[in-house]
Amino acid sequence: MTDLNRYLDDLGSALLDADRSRPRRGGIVAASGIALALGAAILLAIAARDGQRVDALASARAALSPNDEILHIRVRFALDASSQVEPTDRMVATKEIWSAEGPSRWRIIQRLVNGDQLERAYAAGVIRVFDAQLGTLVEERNVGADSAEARSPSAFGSRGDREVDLHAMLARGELEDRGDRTVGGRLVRRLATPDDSDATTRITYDVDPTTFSPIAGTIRYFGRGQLSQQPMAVLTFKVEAYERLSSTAENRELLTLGAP
Amino acid sequence: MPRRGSLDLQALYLEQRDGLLTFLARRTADPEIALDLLAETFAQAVASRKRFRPGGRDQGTKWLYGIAKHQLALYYRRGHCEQRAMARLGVRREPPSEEILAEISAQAQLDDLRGVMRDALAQLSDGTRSAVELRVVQELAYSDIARRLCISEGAARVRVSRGLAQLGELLDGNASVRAAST
Repeated sequence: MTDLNRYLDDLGSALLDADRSRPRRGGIVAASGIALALGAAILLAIAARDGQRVDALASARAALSPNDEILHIRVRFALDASSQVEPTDRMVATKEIWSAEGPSRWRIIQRLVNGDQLERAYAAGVIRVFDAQLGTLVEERNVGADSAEARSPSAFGSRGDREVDLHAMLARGELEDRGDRTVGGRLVRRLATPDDSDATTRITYDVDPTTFSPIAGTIRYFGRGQLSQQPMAVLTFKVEAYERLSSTAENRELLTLGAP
Repeated sequence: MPRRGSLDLQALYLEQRDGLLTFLARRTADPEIALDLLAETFAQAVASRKRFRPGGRDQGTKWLYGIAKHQLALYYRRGHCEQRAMARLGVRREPPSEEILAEISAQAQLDDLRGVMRDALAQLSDGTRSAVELRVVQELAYSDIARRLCISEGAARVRVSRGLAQLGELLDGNASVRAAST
């Protein structure tokens, strides 16, 4: 055995020992997420008991706002079999976003069906883009904080970052509250594009009826002037992770390119 | 035994450490930096193993090389190797001896690298080679490269990216082919 082999063996052992002995952060995060959800549920229950009507659109919009915390969301997409377009391995399989406000910062990782990955992050007027396949890092400086490029990308939709910006659509009142219903055995609150809308992108968005956290949805893309026909593409999305992280130094690292 | 569908980090480490070390050494021409990057790459893999999504064949290798290339890009940009994940895990290691560094240099054939690099650069098209040299050697901004080569800024970015990817493939065999397929 050479000196190098011994050195690499020792390094491997040290890393694996550290892996076995380290605390599992996920459990703590999950627990805090549950606590937050419970807290929100209790507040909403109190509001309902007091006879106040819950504004589903405003509550859903608030659930997608980071406020003083770091919002972490991961969404998985699938092309529905009813689509008229063929699936490709360049489609987005998942989007994962960490975002914070005051000042605005965000990081997004898009993973494609073929395994390719693209990561972008914005902070302090600089957008950094890392292409894992090419191994290239590109920086764009002097990006105005109010510019479209600096705005936190939407976690929903796969054809373009701002194709389906649920937060903005909720703010503009482009969805309507369809009330509670049961989907897959689970009670959800459904928000959707009004039937009389002339929008060619139509959304069905299910949220938790008490916390208004996102659960799942469907996006239907129609051709121009073809609203009465079958949609060109039907995309389903499922929210795999949704949590609010306190703004600790460790969690703020998640907003930077290259964080684990 | 690892759970079905989970990542067996021990097996991945044993299988990939030598190839990845060569991959990193040939991209930094510095065996010590290559060791730092190797350690940080695996530390990042340990720290972020929950994010690993089992997929097709060699998914673990692709994921690992993705992390390594990210670390490499950070090193190129900052001029030093981050050891954040190593520190977070509390992993300490002895500085490598001269013998170990010499072994890495021999394994990665670093002495031959200058000639290989000259040959690899010669295989790029004139436009791509110019863009790479302006970016990597002269460290010009993309806007300056675009002006210099009379092309758009977007085209300059594409030329540099493609040029670096081609150089990577030309500089070493199996490791870069594996990495490029991620």
